[in-house]
Amino acid sequence: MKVSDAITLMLTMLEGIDRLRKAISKARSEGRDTLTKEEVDGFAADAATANQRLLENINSLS
Amino acid sequence: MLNIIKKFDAGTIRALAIATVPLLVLIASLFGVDELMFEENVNLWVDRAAAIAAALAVAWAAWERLFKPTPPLTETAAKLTEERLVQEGKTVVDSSGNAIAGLQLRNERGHAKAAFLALLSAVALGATACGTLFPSLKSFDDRAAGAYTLVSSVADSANALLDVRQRELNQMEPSTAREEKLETIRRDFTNVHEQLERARTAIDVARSLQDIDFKSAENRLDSAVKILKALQEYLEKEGA
Repeated sequence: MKVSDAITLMLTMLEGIDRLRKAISKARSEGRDTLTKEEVDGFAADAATANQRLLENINSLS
Repeated sequence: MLNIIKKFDAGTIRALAIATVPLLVLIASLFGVDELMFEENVNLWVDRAAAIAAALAVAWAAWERLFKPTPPLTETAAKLTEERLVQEGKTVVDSSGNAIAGLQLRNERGHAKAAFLALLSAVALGATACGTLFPSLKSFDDRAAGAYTLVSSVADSANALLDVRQRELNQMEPSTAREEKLETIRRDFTNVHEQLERARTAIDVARSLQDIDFKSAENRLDSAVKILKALQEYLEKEGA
């Protein structure tokens, strides 16, 4: 792994966490105590995509 | 420096900071400030300060590891290092056999590679950020979203580590050892993928249960987060 790869990884991880933080802040600013089902579904879809990408990379090992 | 770290252990500082919060709240209440609001804000800033301190500590450790000679952590390690330097002819010994110039000559860099340190920093920073964010997630749906975010983070970490392993394989000549290593890597990461899938499914099930059996839903969500944290720790060890 190159340093640039690791930095990209760091930014990717922080991006996910920052997205969650923003979604929660938005909900609070709109007077909601919780995220909507659709918002949580978005995070579920991202998790599924990330894990699918892992499987594809495992299968392409050579 | 190790002695200083021992004295000013991050956990101790954080504990002291947290212990100071009730005192500040008490003082603030004397001036008519809303106690609950004030305590929440102070706790938030303590957590932020702890997260920044942790990130700086990782960066500082990485910097030291890259550009400073590696200090042996124990007396035994120091002795073994001196012996190895003598064997390699990199040090001078006096008539009693004591190394007298070893420290000046011991100028090798640390054993960690820059990329690994960057990876470790990424994982540590992500874990710190998650650790800071998660306690603020109060509702079930918020925590479910947090758990999904953790799934994505662990999968991304695994992908990065898999990339490192692929490059290691690329540097090996075709051989039985290479094939065995390939199989081991494939098996290990398939396990990680399956555990992630299990955690993701557990979160899905927890969400579907929350209106029927909230207690059971909570338990499933907690189990999923435990699996994810264990996976994160496993990947950190694998990276080392």
